[in-house]
Amino acid sequence: MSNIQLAFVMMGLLVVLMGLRIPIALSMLGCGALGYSMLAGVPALLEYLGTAPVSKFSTYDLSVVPLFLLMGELATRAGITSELFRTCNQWVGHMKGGLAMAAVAGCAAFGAICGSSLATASTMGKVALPEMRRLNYAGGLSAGSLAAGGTLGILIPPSMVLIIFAVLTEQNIAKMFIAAFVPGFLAAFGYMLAIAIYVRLYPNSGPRGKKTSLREKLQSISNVWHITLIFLIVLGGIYLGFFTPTEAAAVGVFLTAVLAFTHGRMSLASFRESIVRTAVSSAMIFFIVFGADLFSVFIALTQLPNAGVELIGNSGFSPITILVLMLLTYLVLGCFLDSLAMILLTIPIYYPIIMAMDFGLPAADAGIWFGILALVVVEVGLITPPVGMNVFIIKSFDSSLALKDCFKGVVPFLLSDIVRVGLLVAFPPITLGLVHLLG
Amino acid sequence: MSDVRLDQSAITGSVGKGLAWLSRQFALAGGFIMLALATMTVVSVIGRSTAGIAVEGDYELVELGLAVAIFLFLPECYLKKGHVVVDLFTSGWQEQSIRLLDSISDLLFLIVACVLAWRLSVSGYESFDYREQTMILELPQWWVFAVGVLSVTLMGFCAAYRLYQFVRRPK
Repeated sequence: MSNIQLAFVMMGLLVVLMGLRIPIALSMLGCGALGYSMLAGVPALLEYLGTAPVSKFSTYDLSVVPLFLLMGELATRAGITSELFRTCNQWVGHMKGGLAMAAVAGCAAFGAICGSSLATASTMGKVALPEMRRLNYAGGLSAGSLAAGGTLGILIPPSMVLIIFAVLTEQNIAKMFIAAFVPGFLAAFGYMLAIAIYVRLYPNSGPRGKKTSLREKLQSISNVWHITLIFLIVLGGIYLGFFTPTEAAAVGVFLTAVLAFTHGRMSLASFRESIVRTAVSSAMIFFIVFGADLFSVFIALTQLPNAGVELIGNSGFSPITILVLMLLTYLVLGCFLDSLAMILLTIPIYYPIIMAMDFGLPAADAGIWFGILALVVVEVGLITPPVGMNVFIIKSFDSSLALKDCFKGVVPFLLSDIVRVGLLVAFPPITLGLVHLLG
Repeated sequence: MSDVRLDQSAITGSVGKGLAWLSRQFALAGGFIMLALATMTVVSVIGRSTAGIAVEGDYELVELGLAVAIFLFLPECYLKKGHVVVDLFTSGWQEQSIRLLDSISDLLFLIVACVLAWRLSVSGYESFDYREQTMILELPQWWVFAVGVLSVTLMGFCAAYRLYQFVRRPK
């Protein structure tokens, strides 16, 4: 059996193990260990297992992950989501579908201090869903806007998936965050546009709220000073190069903890819960990173990425065709894998191929651009069946919602996603403009 | 992604409760290490921007401290079933078959824990022997391995206990 064949056999085994409910991290670790020991020998594998956990867990760039997770956990308990939602509602509530737009805008704002989609969807869902249902919003529109809005948690930096991508590809995390900024807000804008069109096609789905004066609008801004301040210090500090992402996350943890205790009146019990949840999520992510690292070391040994580069180089397809095909595979994988696992499994193979192709961009720029595109498409899996975690979370808040309606309600937002991916592929400056401006 | 199913997954009996309690203490200890590091970093950033003095070796402390914290988080993550699984293909299966599959995972976790405990001990001992230390603060590195061995051992005990429960369960 050639090495390339071995790589494919192991990938097949990996899919089988994952399909049989073996945790993703464990499946990757197992297949990686098996393949690595066949190619490099058992002693090399044992040597690797003794040192890799410590070296992976003590990577400075990865230290940002648990800190941002803790910051997000504290932010969900800081009691700021209802104020965010109300302020956004003061501004857009009078429009048709205004509450749904306010929910999306609130998610975008919350996403600017939280790096997780599920946390964003669930905190905003708890506040916004009852309001929408009270005003007779259609179930599909309510659930769809919140599920899609939740993905803004990860599209708008800080973002766990981006951090992992940056570490895997040795990109600068700060630059990735800068690059994600405009596409993230484009996503929020696109979702609001989708709502505006939807409520015109289905006139009774999202009635108008009451009008507010400019004075009330301006006054409402003072209610969200806290999140604005944290955002300016944490993300502003990263963007302007004042501190490293890890330092920024540490400062963010500190500030949100102060906010949660003073403003959210967080109890010691819920503080403990924040820590335990952070512990579980962090361990999960680092264990996947550990398993995926061994698997990708094995894949690199088989020379599969090089063969892929050569094969695609000789295939005669244009770089854009290859790129689009890669993005489509994420949509397929998204049907059963979570976003982090997708990135960890595919990047070792895809990234060398992307870097070997000519998109008319400098190599560093092409890497950042691809990272943002991958981020956007892997998040689509969060709102599409059968996995669609965000949709299930929103549905769990209101038993009167039918799952079928929820997934139907997601369609306008999916269309908006597709249009956005098209724009990002066609116009790289949307992603790279800010990087060049601040770099 | 960071959704946590706070599923106590039926750890029962005094041994099980003891293991769960210990794992929880490990996780909380890791959390407090994180908070201490965050505070230290805030002090360092403020010191750097006002007085021009940063905490010496702050990067090293963050790296080693977080490695220790992540190790301490592992047993709790295992007990809470925090590791993501793909349940698309098996969602229609009978509960008994699913329980069997989950026990295979537990067995694999047990094997991984044993191998890691062994290999981390060996590498940790070498690190101790060569007096490996960090660049600036000259902190010895072997104790990170020591915490690692302790944590994966606890995870291994939890996995062994779950397997024991599975075998003992009336069919």
